[in-house]
Amino acid sequence: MTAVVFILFFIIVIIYAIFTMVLFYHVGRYSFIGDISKRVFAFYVGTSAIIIAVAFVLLILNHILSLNAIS
Amino acid sequence: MRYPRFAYIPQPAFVNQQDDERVFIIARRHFVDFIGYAIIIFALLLVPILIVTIGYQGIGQAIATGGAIAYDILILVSAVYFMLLMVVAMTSWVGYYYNLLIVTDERIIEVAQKGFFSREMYELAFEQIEDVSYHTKGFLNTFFEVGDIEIQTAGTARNFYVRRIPYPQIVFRIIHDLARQARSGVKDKERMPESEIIGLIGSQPVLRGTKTPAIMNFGAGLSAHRDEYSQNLKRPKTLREKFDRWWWAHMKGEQLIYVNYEFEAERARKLKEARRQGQVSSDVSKK
Repeated sequence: MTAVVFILFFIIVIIYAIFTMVLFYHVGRYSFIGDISKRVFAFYVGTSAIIIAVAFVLLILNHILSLNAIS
Repeated sequence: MRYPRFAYIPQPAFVNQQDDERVFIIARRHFVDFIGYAIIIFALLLVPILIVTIGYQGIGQAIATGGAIAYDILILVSAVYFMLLMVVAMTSWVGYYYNLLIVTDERIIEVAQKGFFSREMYELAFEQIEDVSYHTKGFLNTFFEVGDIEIQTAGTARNFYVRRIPYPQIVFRIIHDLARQARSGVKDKERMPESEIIGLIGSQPVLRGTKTPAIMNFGAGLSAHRDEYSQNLKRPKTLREKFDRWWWAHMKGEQLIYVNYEFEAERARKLKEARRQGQVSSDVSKK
Protein backbone atom coordinates (compact mmCIF):
# COMPACT_ATOMS: atom_id res chain seq x y z
CA MET A 1 0.00 0.00 0.00
CA THR A 2 2.87 2.35 0.81
CA ALA A 3 4.24 1.87 -2.71
CA VAL A 4 0.86 2.86 -4.18
CA VAL A 5 0.85 6.03 -2.07
CA PHE A 6 4.36 6.96 -3.23
CA ILE A 7 3.56 6.26 -6.89
CA LEU A 8 0.41 8.38 -6.57
CA PHE A 9 2.45 11.15 -4.99
CA PHE A 10 5.01 11.13 -7.81
CA ILE A 11 2.28 11.16 -10.48
CA ILE A 12 0.78 14.23 -8.79
CA VAL A 13 4.20 15.89 -8.67
CA ILE A 14 4.81 15.18 -12.37
CA ILE A 15 1.45 16.70 -13.34
CA TYR A 16 2.32 19.70 -11.20
CA ALA A 17 5.73 19.98 -12.88
CA ILE A 18 4.04 20.06 -16.30
CA PHE A 19 1.85 22.93 -15.11
CA THR A 20 4.98 24.68 -13.82
CA MET A 21 6.62 24.36 -17.24
CA VAL A 22 3.60 25.97 -18.90
CA LEU A 23 3.84 28.80 -16.39
CA PHE A 24 7.58 29.11 -17.04
CA TYR A 25 6.87 29.48 -20.75
CA HIS A 26 4.32 32.25 -20.12
CA VAL A 27 6.55 34.16 -17.74
CA GLY A 28 9.55 33.91 -20.02
CA ARG A 29 7.75 34.70 -23.26
CA TYR A 30 5.26 37.40 -22.34
CA SER A 31 6.91 39.40 -19.55
CA PHE A 32 8.95 42.57 -19.84
CA ILE A 33 12.54 42.40 -18.70
CA GLY A 34 12.48 43.93 -15.25
CA ASP A 35 8.83 43.44 -14.31
CA ILE A 36 7.68 41.34 -11.36
CA SER A 37 6.95 38.15 -13.34
CA LYS A 38 10.22 36.46 -12.57
CA ARG A 39 9.95 37.25 -8.86
CA VAL A 40 6.38 35.89 -8.74
CA PHE A 41 7.56 32.75 -10.54
CA ALA A 42 10.43 32.35 -8.05
CA PHE A 43 7.96 32.69 -5.16
CA TYR A 44 5.69 30.11 -6.79
CA VAL A 45 8.53 27.64 -7.32
CA GLY A 46 9.82 28.18 -3.76
CA THR A 47 6.41 27.65 -2.16
CA SER A 48 5.70 24.62 -4.35
CA ALA A 49 9.05 23.08 -3.44
CA ILE A 50 8.28 23.54 0.26
CA ILE A 51 4.83 21.93 -0.10
CA ILE A 52 6.23 18.95 -2.02
CA ALA A 53 9.21 18.52 0.30
CA VAL A 54 7.08 18.67 3.48
CA ALA A 55 4.58 16.17 2.06
CA PHE A 56 7.40 13.84 0.98
CA VAL A 57 9.14 14.01 4.38
CA LEU A 58 5.84 13.37 6.20
CA LEU A 59 5.13 10.35 3.99
CA ILE A 60 8.59 8.91 4.69
CA LEU A 61 8.27 9.57 8.43
CA ASN A 62 4.86 7.92 8.47
CA HIS A 63 6.28 4.94 6.61
CA ILE A 64 9.23 4.60 9.06
CA LEU A 65 6.97 5.00 12.12
CA SER A 66 4.47 2.43 10.83
CA LEU A 67 7.35 -0.04 10.16
CA ASN A 68 8.57 0.47 13.74
CA ALA A 69 5.05 -0.05 15.07
CA ILE A 70 4.74 -3.36 13.17
CA SER A 71 8.10 -4.67 14.37
CA MET B 1 8.50 60.20 -9.94
CA ARG B 2 9.69 56.63 -10.39
CA TYR B 3 8.57 54.35 -13.19
CA PRO B 4 8.52 50.55 -12.90
CA ARG B 5 11.95 48.98 -13.37
CA PHE B 6 11.12 47.55 -16.81
CA ALA B 7 10.62 51.09 -18.13
CA TYR B 8 14.32 51.91 -17.86
CA ILE B 9 15.51 48.96 -19.94
CA PRO B 10 15.39 49.56 -23.70
CA GLN B 11 13.30 46.68 -24.98
CA PRO B 12 10.47 46.23 -27.46
CA ALA B 13 7.08 46.88 -25.87
CA PHE B 14 5.48 44.25 -28.09
CA VAL B 15 6.56 41.68 -30.64
CA ASN B 16 6.38 43.56 -33.95
CA GLN B 17 7.27 47.06 -32.76
CA GLN B 18 8.91 49.21 -35.46
CA ASP B 19 12.41 50.46 -34.80
CA ASP B 20 11.33 54.11 -34.46
CA GLU B 21 7.81 53.56 -33.09
CA ARG B 22 7.33 55.66 -29.97
CA VAL B 23 5.24 54.31 -27.12
CA PHE B 24 2.95 56.56 -25.09
CA ILE B 25 1.06 54.11 -22.92
CA ILE B 26 1.89 50.72 -21.47
CA ALA B 27 -0.85 49.95 -18.97
CA ARG B 28 -1.67 46.75 -17.19
CA ARG B 29 -4.93 46.17 -15.41
CA HIS B 30 -5.03 47.80 -12.00
CA PHE B 31 -4.58 45.62 -8.91
CA VAL B 32 -8.25 46.27 -8.08
CA ASP B 33 -9.01 43.69 -10.77
CA PHE B 34 -7.11 41.05 -8.81
CA ILE B 35 -8.48 41.86 -5.33
CA GLY B 36 -11.48 39.51 -5.72
CA TYR B 37 -9.21 36.58 -6.64
CA ALA B 38 -6.77 37.47 -3.84
CA ILE B 39 -9.58 37.38 -1.24
CA ILE B 40 -10.88 34.02 -2.53
CA ILE B 41 -7.37 32.50 -2.52
CA PHE B 42 -6.73 33.77 1.01
CA ALA B 43 -10.09 32.35 2.19
CA LEU B 44 -9.26 28.97 0.57
CA LEU B 45 -5.92 29.03 2.39
CA LEU B 46 -7.82 29.19 5.70
CA VAL B 47 -10.20 26.32 4.86
CA PRO B 48 -7.86 23.48 6.04
CA ILE B 49 -7.28 25.30 9.35
CA LEU B 50 -11.05 25.59 9.82
CA ILE B 51 -11.61 21.93 8.91
CA VAL B 52 -8.92 20.78 11.36
CA THR B 53 -10.27 23.06 14.12
CA ILE B 54 -13.91 22.09 13.67
CA GLY B 55 -13.52 18.42 12.78
CA TYR B 56 -10.58 17.71 15.10
CA GLN B 57 -12.25 14.81 16.91
CA GLY B 58 -13.60 13.20 13.74
CA ILE B 59 -10.19 13.34 12.04
CA GLY B 60 -8.54 11.92 15.18
CA GLN B 61 -10.97 9.00 15.24
CA ALA B 62 -10.49 8.31 11.53
CA ILE B 63 -6.72 8.23 11.96
CA ALA B 64 -7.02 5.99 15.04
CA THR B 65 -9.12 3.49 13.08
CA GLY B 66 -7.34 3.80 9.74
CA GLY B 67 -3.77 3.81 11.07
CA ALA B 68 -0.84 4.58 8.77
CA ILE B 69 -2.94 4.53 5.58
CA ALA B 70 -5.24 7.21 6.98
CA TYR B 71 -2.19 9.36 7.68
CA ASP B 72 -0.92 8.81 4.12
CA ILE B 73 -4.27 9.80 2.65
CA LEU B 74 -4.41 12.87 4.88
CA ILE B 75 -0.92 13.96 3.77
CA LEU B 76 -1.71 13.35 0.09
CA VAL B 77 -5.03 15.19 0.21
CA SER B 78 -3.44 18.17 2.00
CA ALA B 79 -0.56 18.34 -0.50
CA VAL B 80 -2.93 18.12 -3.48
CA TYR B 81 -5.16 20.79 -1.94
CA PHE B 82 -2.29 23.26 -1.54
CA MET B 83 -0.93 22.46 -5.00
CA LEU B 84 -4.35 23.07 -6.53
CA LEU B 85 -4.51 26.33 -4.61
CA MET B 86 -1.18 27.37 -6.14
CA VAL B 87 -2.48 26.42 -9.60
CA VAL B 88 -5.63 28.51 -9.09
CA ALA B 89 -3.57 31.42 -7.75
CA MET B 90 -1.10 31.39 -10.64
CA THR B 91 -3.79 30.91 -13.30
CA SER B 92 -5.73 33.91 -12.02
CA TRP B 93 -2.49 35.93 -11.72
CA VAL B 94 -1.50 35.18 -15.33
CA GLY B 95 -5.02 36.15 -16.45
CA TYR B 96 -4.68 39.43 -14.60
CA TYR B 97 -1.06 40.40 -15.17
CA TYR B 98 -0.56 39.66 -18.86
CA ASN B 99 -3.39 41.87 -20.07
CA LEU B 100 -1.94 44.96 -21.66
CA LEU B 101 -2.97 48.15 -23.34
CA ILE B 102 -0.22 49.68 -25.48
CA VAL B 103 -0.61 52.97 -27.30
CA THR B 104 2.07 54.02 -29.78
CA ASP B 105 2.23 56.86 -32.29
CA GLU B 106 0.85 54.53 -34.97
CA ARG B 107 -1.66 52.24 -33.31
CA ILE B 108 -3.38 50.88 -30.24
CA ILE B 109 -2.67 47.32 -29.18
CA GLU B 110 -4.70 45.30 -26.76
CA VAL B 111 -3.33 42.04 -25.43
CA ALA B 112 -6.06 39.94 -23.85
CA GLN B 113 -4.90 37.00 -21.78
CA LYS B 114 -7.62 34.63 -20.62
CA GLY B 115 -6.21 31.94 -18.37
CA PHE B 116 -3.21 29.98 -19.62
CA PHE B 117 -4.23 28.86 -23.06
CA SER B 118 -5.91 31.85 -24.63
CA ARG B 119 -3.98 34.95 -25.63
CA GLU B 120 -5.30 37.40 -28.19
CA MET B 121 -3.66 40.49 -29.61
CA TYR B 122 -5.77 43.15 -31.31
CA GLU B 123 -4.44 46.12 -33.21
CA LEU B 124 -6.14 49.32 -34.26
CA ALA B 125 -4.84 52.23 -36.35
CA PHE B 126 -5.76 55.71 -35.09
CA GLU B 127 -7.42 56.52 -38.41
CA GLN B 128 -10.05 53.85 -37.69
CA ILE B 129 -11.16 55.33 -34.37
CA GLU B 130 -14.64 56.82 -34.36
CA ASP B 131 -15.21 57.55 -30.71
CA VAL B 132 -13.43 57.13 -27.36
CA SER B 133 -15.02 57.11 -23.92
CA TYR B 134 -14.23 56.01 -20.38
CA HIS B 135 -16.34 54.83 -17.47
CA THR B 136 -15.58 54.67 -13.78
CA LYS B 137 -18.15 52.84 -11.67
CA GLY B 138 -18.13 51.56 -8.11
CA PHE B 139 -16.46 52.59 -4.87
CA LEU B 140 -13.09 50.84 -5.34
CA ASN B 141 -12.72 52.04 -8.92
CA THR B 142 -13.46 55.63 -7.94
CA PHE B 143 -11.17 55.45 -4.92
CA PHE B 144 -8.20 54.05 -6.88
CA GLU B 145 -8.92 56.03 -10.08
CA VAL B 146 -9.57 52.96 -12.19
CA GLY B 147 -11.90 52.69 -15.16
CA ASP B 148 -12.81 51.07 -18.45
CA ILE B 149 -11.89 52.49 -21.83
CA GLU B 150 -14.20 52.00 -24.78
CA ILE B 151 -13.02 52.68 -28.32
CA GLN B 152 -15.56 52.50 -31.10
CA THR B 153 -14.25 51.92 -34.57
CA ALA B 154 -15.37 52.78 -38.03
CA GLY B 155 -16.39 50.06 -40.42
CA THR B 156 -16.00 46.40 -39.61
CA ALA B 157 -13.04 46.76 -37.23
CA ARG B 158 -13.56 45.30 -33.79
CA ASN B 159 -14.50 47.70 -30.97
CA PHE B 160 -12.07 47.88 -28.07
CA TYR B 161 -13.21 47.58 -24.49
CA VAL B 162 -10.31 47.59 -22.03
CA ARG B 163 -11.20 46.96 -18.40
CA ARG B 164 -9.79 48.28 -15.13
CA ILE B 165 -7.10 50.59 -16.49
CA PRO B 166 -5.41 53.02 -14.06
CA TYR B 167 -6.07 56.74 -14.68
CA PRO B 168 -8.65 56.25 -17.46
CA GLN B 169 -9.00 60.01 -17.90
CA ILE B 170 -5.31 60.25 -18.91
CA VAL B 171 -5.58 57.29 -21.29
CA PHE B 172 -8.77 58.74 -22.76
CA ARG B 173 -7.16 62.14 -23.32
CA ILE B 174 -4.04 60.72 -24.98
CA ILE B 175 -5.98 58.42 -27.32
CA HIS B 176 -8.42 61.22 -28.10
CA ASP B 177 -5.60 63.64 -29.03
CA LEU B 178 -3.72 61.10 -31.16
CA ALA B 179 -6.89 60.01 -32.98
CA ARG B 180 -7.84 63.61 -33.73
CA GLN B 181 -4.36 64.32 -35.09
CA ALA B 182 -4.47 61.18 -37.22
CA ARG B 183 -7.84 62.20 -38.68
CA SER B 184 -6.52 65.65 -39.55
CA GLY B 185 -3.59 64.10 -41.45
CA VAL B 186 -0.70 64.55 -39.02
CA LYS B 187 2.03 61.98 -39.82
CA ASP B 188 2.57 59.29 -37.18
CA LYS B 189 6.08 60.46 -36.24
CA GLU B 190 4.78 64.00 -35.58
CA ARG B 191 1.86 62.99 -33.39
CA MET B 192 2.03 63.99 -29.74
CA PRO B 193 -0.56 64.23 -26.95
CA GLU B 194 -1.46 67.85 -26.31
CA SER B 195 -1.98 67.74 -22.55
CA GLU B 196 0.66 68.14 -19.85
CA ILE B 197 0.72 64.36 -19.40
CA ILE B 198 2.10 62.71 -22.52
CA GLY B 199 2.15 59.10 -21.40
CA LEU B 200 1.38 56.42 -18.84
CA ILE B 201 3.94 53.74 -18.05
CA GLY B 202 2.76 51.10 -15.60
CA SER B 203 0.55 53.33 -13.50
CA GLN B 204 2.95 56.26 -13.57
CA PRO B 205 2.03 59.35 -15.65
CA VAL B 206 4.79 60.82 -17.82
CA LEU B 207 4.88 64.61 -17.64
CA ARG B 208 5.74 66.85 -20.56
CA GLY B 209 9.29 68.17 -20.33
CA THR B 210 10.62 65.35 -18.16
CA LYS B 211 13.03 62.70 -19.36
CA THR B 212 11.12 59.80 -20.84
CA PRO B 213 12.02 56.25 -19.80
CA ALA B 214 13.83 54.07 -22.34
CA ILE B 215 10.87 51.83 -23.10
CA MET B 216 8.99 54.79 -24.62
CA ASN B 217 11.59 54.73 -27.42
CA PHE B 218 11.77 58.52 -27.86
CA GLY B 219 15.49 58.41 -28.60
CA ALA B 220 17.39 57.09 -31.55
CA GLY B 221 15.34 53.92 -32.03
CA LEU B 222 15.39 50.42 -30.60
CA SER B 223 18.41 49.09 -32.50
CA ALA B 224 20.52 52.16 -31.63
CA HIS B 225 19.53 51.81 -27.98
CA ARG B 226 20.49 48.16 -28.05
CA ASP B 227 23.85 48.87 -29.67
CA GLU B 228 24.61 51.61 -27.15
CA TYR B 229 23.48 49.45 -24.29
CA SER B 230 25.53 46.47 -25.33
CA GLN B 231 28.79 48.39 -25.61
CA ASN B 232 31.50 47.27 -23.24
CA LEU B 233 29.41 44.24 -22.42
CA LYS B 234 31.20 41.99 -19.95
CA ARG B 235 30.73 38.31 -19.42
CA PRO B 236 28.27 37.62 -16.62
CA LYS B 237 30.14 36.70 -13.45
CA THR B 238 27.76 35.93 -10.61
CA LEU B 239 25.23 33.11 -10.66
CA ARG B 240 22.41 35.66 -10.79
CA GLU B 241 23.95 37.37 -13.82
CA LYS B 242 24.47 34.06 -15.58
CA PHE B 243 20.90 33.01 -14.90
CA ASP B 244 19.54 36.36 -16.13
CA ARG B 245 21.56 36.15 -19.34
CA TRP B 246 20.38 32.62 -19.95
CA TRP B 247 16.75 33.51 -19.20
CA TRP B 248 16.70 36.55 -21.43
CA ALA B 249 18.67 35.02 -24.28
CA HIS B 250 16.65 31.81 -24.44
CA MET B 251 13.19 32.89 -23.44
CA LYS B 252 12.94 36.14 -25.35
CA GLY B 253 13.77 34.68 -28.75
CA GLU B 254 13.69 37.38 -31.39
CA GLN B 255 13.33 40.06 -28.73
CA LEU B 256 16.90 39.38 -27.63
CA ILE B 257 18.12 42.12 -25.35
CA TYR B 258 21.63 42.72 -24.11
CA VAL B 259 21.88 43.83 -20.54
CA ASN B 260 24.86 45.78 -19.36
CA TYR B 261 25.24 44.87 -15.71
CA GLU B 262 27.62 47.73 -14.96
CA PHE B 263 25.04 50.16 -16.36
CA GLU B 264 22.38 48.56 -14.16
CA ALA B 265 24.61 48.66 -11.09
CA GLU B 266 25.45 52.33 -11.68
CA ARG B 267 21.76 53.19 -12.12
CA ALA B 268 20.84 51.36 -8.91
CA ARG B 269 23.63 53.17 -7.03
CA LYS B 270 22.45 56.59 -8.25
CA LEU B 271 18.83 55.79 -7.39
CA LYS B 272 19.84 54.74 -3.89
CA GLU B 273 21.89 57.90 -3.45
CA ALA B 274 19.01 60.10 -4.67
CA ARG B 275 16.54 58.40 -2.36
CA ARG B 276 18.86 58.91 0.58
CA GLN B 277 19.00 62.61 -0.22
CA GLY B 278 15.22 62.74 -0.78
CA GLN B 279 15.51 63.92 -4.38
CA VAL B 280 13.20 63.14 -7.26
CA SER B 281 14.73 60.07 -8.81
CA SER B 282 13.53 60.07 -12.43
CA ASP B 283 16.39 62.14 -13.83
CA VAL B 284 19.21 60.31 -12.16
CA SER B 285 17.84 56.94 -13.14
CA LYS B 286 18.84 57.53 -16.73
CA LYS B 287 22.37 57.34 -17.94
